[in-house]
Amino acid sequence: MQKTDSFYIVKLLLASAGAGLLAMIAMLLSWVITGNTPVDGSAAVSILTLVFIIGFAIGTFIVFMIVTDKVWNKNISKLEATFPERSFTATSTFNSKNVVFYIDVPGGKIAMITKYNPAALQMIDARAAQNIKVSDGKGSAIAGTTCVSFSFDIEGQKWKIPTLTAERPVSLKSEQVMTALAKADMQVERLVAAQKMAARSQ
Amino acid sequence: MGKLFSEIKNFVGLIKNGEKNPPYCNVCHCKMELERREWLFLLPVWTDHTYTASATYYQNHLVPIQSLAEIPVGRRACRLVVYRCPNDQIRKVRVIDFLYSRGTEVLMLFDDYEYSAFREMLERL
Repeated sequence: MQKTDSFYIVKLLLASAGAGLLAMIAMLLSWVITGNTPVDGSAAVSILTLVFIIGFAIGTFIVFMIVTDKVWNKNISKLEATFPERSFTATSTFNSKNVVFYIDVPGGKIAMITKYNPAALQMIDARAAQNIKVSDGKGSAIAGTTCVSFSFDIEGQKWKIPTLTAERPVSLKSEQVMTALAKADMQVERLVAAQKMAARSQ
Repeated sequence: MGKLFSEIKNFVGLIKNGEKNPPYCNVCHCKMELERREWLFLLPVWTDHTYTASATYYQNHLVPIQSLAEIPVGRRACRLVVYRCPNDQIRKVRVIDFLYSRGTEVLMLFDDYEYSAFREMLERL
C-alpha cells in the first residue's frame, strides 16, 4: 500500500520544471526578437535564473493545485469502473481531502485511491487494518479542534483520513465537529463490519 | 394580512428559539401548544447529505422507530411533534431532522407542516 507514487511526483516536478524552461525560452526569444539582449553575460544569467524560478513556482502551483486534482478525479472514475472485474462492491465510499476510501462490507475488503498515487486502486483484506480509531483532534494547546479523522495502520503504515479539516479551531460541540465525528464513527463501524465478514468467510 | 403576520411571527420564532419554540396559529396568531408525545423516525439520509424536504417526501420515506438506540451510526433521524391551537383546534406537525452523534442530537433542519399531510401516517402508529 503506497500513499505516494515517487515516479508520479517526479513527473509532476518535471512538468513544473518544464514551465520554468518555457518561461526561460520565452525570455530568450523576446531578447532575440527585440534585440534588447543584456550586454553583461552574468546579468543575463541572473535574469534567466529568476525567470526560471518564477516559471517553476507558477508551474508547481498549477500542477499541484489544479492538475493533480484533475488527474485524480479522472482516474477515480476509471478505476471505479473496474470494480466489477475485481469482484469489489463498494458498499461505502468516503471522499476525503487526499484519498477516496471504499469499503466492501460483504466482501470483507477495503480499497483506496490516493491523490498522489492516482493510477493505483489499492485493495486489501479489511483485516489488514489494525489499530482503528477515531480522533476528535483535540489538543491541549487550543480550544476546539481543527481536524477530525479516523485512522488505521496497514502493514505498519499509518493511514489518517480526515472527515473535517478547518483553518481555525472549531468547538467540539459544534454541528461541524459532531457531523465529522458521526462520519468517522460510521466509517469505523463499517470497516469493523467488513473485518468480521472477512473473518467469517475464511 | 393576518396570515402574513403569523407567518412572520413563525419565522422570527424559529430563528430566535429554534426548534423548541412553538409555532403560531395561522388563524388567531396565538402560540400553539404541544399536543402529545413525539414520534421518532429514521430518514433515508446519512450524515450531512441533503434532500428536498416536503410533506410528500416525509410521507414516503419515514420509517418509525421506538428509541434513539435504533438509529444506525451516521444515519439521520427525525422527530414529529404535533402542536394544537388552544382557540380553534388547528394542528400543525413539526418535523425536526437531526443527526444522532455520540449521544447528542445535532439539529440539521426543521419545518412545520399542515397536520392533514401527516394525519394518515400518524394515526396508523
